[in-house]
Amino acid sequence: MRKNTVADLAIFGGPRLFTTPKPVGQLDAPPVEDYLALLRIPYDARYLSNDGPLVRRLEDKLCEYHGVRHCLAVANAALGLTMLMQLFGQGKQGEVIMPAFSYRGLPHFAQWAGQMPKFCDVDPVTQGLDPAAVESCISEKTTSILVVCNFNSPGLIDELCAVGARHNIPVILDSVYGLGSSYKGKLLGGFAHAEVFSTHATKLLNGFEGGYITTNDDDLAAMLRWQRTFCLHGLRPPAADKWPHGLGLNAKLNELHAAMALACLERLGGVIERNKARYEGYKAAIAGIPGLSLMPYLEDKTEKRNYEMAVLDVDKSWPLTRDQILALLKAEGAAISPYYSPPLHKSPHSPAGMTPPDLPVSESLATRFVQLPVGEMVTLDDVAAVGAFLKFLHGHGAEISPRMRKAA
Amino acid sequence: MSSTPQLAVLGGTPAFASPLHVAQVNLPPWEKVEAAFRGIFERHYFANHGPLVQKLDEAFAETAGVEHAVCVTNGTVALMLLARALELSGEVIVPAFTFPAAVQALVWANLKPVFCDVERDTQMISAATVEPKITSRTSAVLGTHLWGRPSDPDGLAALCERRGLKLFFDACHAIACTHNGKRIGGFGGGEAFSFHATKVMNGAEGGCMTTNDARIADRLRTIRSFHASQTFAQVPVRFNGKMSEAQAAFALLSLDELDENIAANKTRYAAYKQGLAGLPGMAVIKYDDKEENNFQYVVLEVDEKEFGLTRDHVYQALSAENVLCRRHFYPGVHKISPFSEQKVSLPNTDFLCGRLLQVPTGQAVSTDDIARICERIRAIRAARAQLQDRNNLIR
Repeated sequence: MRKNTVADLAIFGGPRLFTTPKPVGQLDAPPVEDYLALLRIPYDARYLSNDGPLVRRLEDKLCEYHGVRHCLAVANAALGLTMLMQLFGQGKQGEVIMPAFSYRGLPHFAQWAGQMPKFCDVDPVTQGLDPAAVESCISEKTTSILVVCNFNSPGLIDELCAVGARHNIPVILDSVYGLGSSYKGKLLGGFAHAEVFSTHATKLLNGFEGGYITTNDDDLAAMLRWQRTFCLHGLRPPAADKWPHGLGLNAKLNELHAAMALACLERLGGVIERNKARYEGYKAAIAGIPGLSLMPYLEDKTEKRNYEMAVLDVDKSWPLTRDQILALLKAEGAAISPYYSPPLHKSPHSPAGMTPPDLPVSESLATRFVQLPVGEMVTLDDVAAVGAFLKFLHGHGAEISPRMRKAA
Repeated sequence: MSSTPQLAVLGGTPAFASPLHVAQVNLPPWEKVEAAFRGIFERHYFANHGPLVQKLDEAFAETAGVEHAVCVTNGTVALMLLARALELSGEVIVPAFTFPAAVQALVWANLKPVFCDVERDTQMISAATVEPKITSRTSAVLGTHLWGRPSDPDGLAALCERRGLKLFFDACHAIACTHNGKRIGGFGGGEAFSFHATKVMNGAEGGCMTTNDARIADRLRTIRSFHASQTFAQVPVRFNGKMSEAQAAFALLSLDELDENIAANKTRYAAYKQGLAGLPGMAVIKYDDKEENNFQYVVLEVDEKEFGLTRDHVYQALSAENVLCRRHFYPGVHKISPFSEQKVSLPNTDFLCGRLLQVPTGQAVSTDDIARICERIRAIRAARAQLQDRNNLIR
């Protein structure tokens, strides 16, 4: 509902702007008939997991899409990242260099892989790992470098891979937010030693839960395929000699999920178009509100971008703080969160007892952003409503702020 | 029975035109699957602790006769998360006569597996085999309820209590199985189940952790994801172990049919018993009549001396018939990389690793199929003199 007075705000008891929660997640879905037609294949074959027919079809299609030699579907991206960090650990309890301005799961995955996270600062423009900072984080403990490709830019991939190569340290790309994005004219998928993507329902490609690893390294692909299915005796590939400490597990993607990812893969172009329309809608809706901007998609004139997120950048001059805007929008039914805040090294996701390093860029970035509702559950009218709401907040900030503080 | 059929391994026609597997793959009727998925699409709720996962958590707790059930991606993830939730450190004593995932899960949880031998009769660890392996570094014992038979819950619990150790179980074989009439699920600090398609309850993939300890349950629910709304305890390490609505939908349908699927398994088990009755050196391992079992496995024990051939001979000859058996657990986990470095001697484990054979059962296998399989097994024994010479059949 449109707000006329401050009392209309949901945080002060007014009716919500959105009666159903508006998520930060793609949540695309094909017509159910398309899904059921695919599901019928493994059902009739009585083949619901263990490298089933749809998993193989999905892997082939993704190889083609990314222009990469190997794709390994996994049960989720967490397992994919953890497997790679474990292999590259080579039996050593070392460290994985990772950005502090990033996803909260990453330090946990490193620990499952027997490694400690080494939090590193990011570059203020791409907001991905800063190559110079990575260089200074490298020690004899470093076992891999985890480069995260953010939605706004894949980051400084060449420079970061060069640092890895110079020190003979493998580089993994977390490309969960980079699906559909390109780097130097090529879609992500074939960079570094391996890349990991997600097919979680809230990501660009909905496969219920799931993920996949892409690589051009034949040996690594053979090893990962073996690792994904418990490193079963009798299936050991010759390439396993390269990773004698490789630890097996169950990271198999099932056919129920592969069917969904296959159905949604056909729709990817459409989702990106609709994302772009929502993004442009937000841009238009907040144009003219002083001190607010949308985080830009870098190099979007020359490179492909997926427009998966709309992230609001709140200037310090605003009459309300970032956290106040967040609380106000949440109360209205926007199921949103700040963007990578707090930074990992200052969050509960940092391993207990670790002294947080000084990472000024990450710390500063972490105070600025609000993720706005996106995805297929959000209409262009919703986008306009968020814009109008933000305009209202800006106009009434002086009245809202003290009232919020009083309520707290 | 008619004249002895010519075995495929000796140039005859295979008993089956297409392969039979050791896998339950019990499928609910398509109409029910379709309706369940239409519901998911209508709700537009696909992942992240959805309504069907919540329903399955509750329903499986009831099945397992336990206070708390927390469903996850698969059985291995269940074991990994359970080991973390129990706050263990150092060494965990575990059988090597088990599926490798149980041992691997310990290492993923930053623990050191220490192998312990099994008893020949139960095929499982016991207080007697565990106790000599306890050191100052031991924090827990992980037992496997093999073939759904209880892994000495009382003896191990008493030992762990006395020695100040935690106890937990790999219950991936043990859905709807009992110990002293009580459903497996509430023994030790926690138990881990599998809803893999090959198990009696089919979620395509899937797993579940169960416990009667509310504090452990809070930790399990927290470790399963990174969601702030799902944070019920302070835990040092979390993971994405979430089950999807698709898996939960399938598992719930399968749970509805659990009793009839178990009954059908029991019928197939009886068919094997009948088909192999009196055959020297070929025993069907028994399930205690006083306990519930899901009969998801039919396990044969081959006595080379009596039967006249090794288990591997039988395995090879049946494979040629398109009867794809399994040799769980061959080799023992202590013999596979990277665990073989421990160089531990486990004579009972090695003995069993060479003798057991799991034969096809599950919805796709009829009692007629089983009669034919048994007929071929008899023919294999009849041809033992010819087959004995073929020692180079398999590695």
